[in-house]
Amino acid sequence: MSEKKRRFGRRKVCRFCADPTLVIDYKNPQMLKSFVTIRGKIIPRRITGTCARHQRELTTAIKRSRMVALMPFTSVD
Amino acid sequence: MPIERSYRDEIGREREYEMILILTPDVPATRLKEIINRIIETIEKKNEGRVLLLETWGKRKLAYPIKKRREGIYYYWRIIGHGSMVSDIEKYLRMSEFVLRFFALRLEDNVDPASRPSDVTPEVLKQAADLEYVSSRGRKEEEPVAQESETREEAAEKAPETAEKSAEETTEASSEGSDNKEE
Ligand SMILES: [Zn+2]
Repeated sequence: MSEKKRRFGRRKVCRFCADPTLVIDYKNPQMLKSFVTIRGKIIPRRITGTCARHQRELTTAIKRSRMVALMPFTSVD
Repeated sequence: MPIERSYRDEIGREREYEMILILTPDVPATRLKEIINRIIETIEKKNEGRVLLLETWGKRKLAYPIKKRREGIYYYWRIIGHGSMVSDIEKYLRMSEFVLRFFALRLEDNVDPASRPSDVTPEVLKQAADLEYVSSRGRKEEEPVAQESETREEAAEKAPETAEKSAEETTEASSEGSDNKEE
């Protein structure tokens, strides 16, 4: 495989490590939305390039955001 | 041992929380006033606490229906006080049919209250309890965020998310516990 499939590897650097001013906050669903699928599922970090620490923070934030109905739970069809 | 004392109970020290309260959009003015005032009273009188911040977000679309409602009136609070404060509030709110959700997060133990000046004015508290003001606060329906959904959806399906338990929530009182699968 000479080139990785680009659609899976758009971002290889952790966005939050790259920009320390970005805050992960469960009260900001607009920002969190780019880390879930259209169905509300959390995207694995190997896809987004997020580091383990920030992925953990993201996961916590998304779950909290769901609890206060700012983000949807995963819809299972 | 009759007396158990942890650092959390240090005299003169308090706990800081943030809370999100969601009320039904059809709460009557009198009940709204009652609920907000009762919360403030529970904080200030019963728990010698203080409201550090109270934001009336107003009416917002819920990401999924709760108690058949699609909208809720949102409040964001930051408070300090004794440790029993949140469970006192929760106990009270649980009885109200106008509460869609109450969520509290402990931010810090062992806070010196003097280090937390509050800029909440009586006016802010009054407005939060005033339905007319609250109704004027609502924000318009949020635009669904544009997503490069296919890519993400596809990708995510191959590696299901790992459920990570977040244990920090102190209270996630919700009047219903079974709406996980809605919408
Ligand atoms: Zn990172």
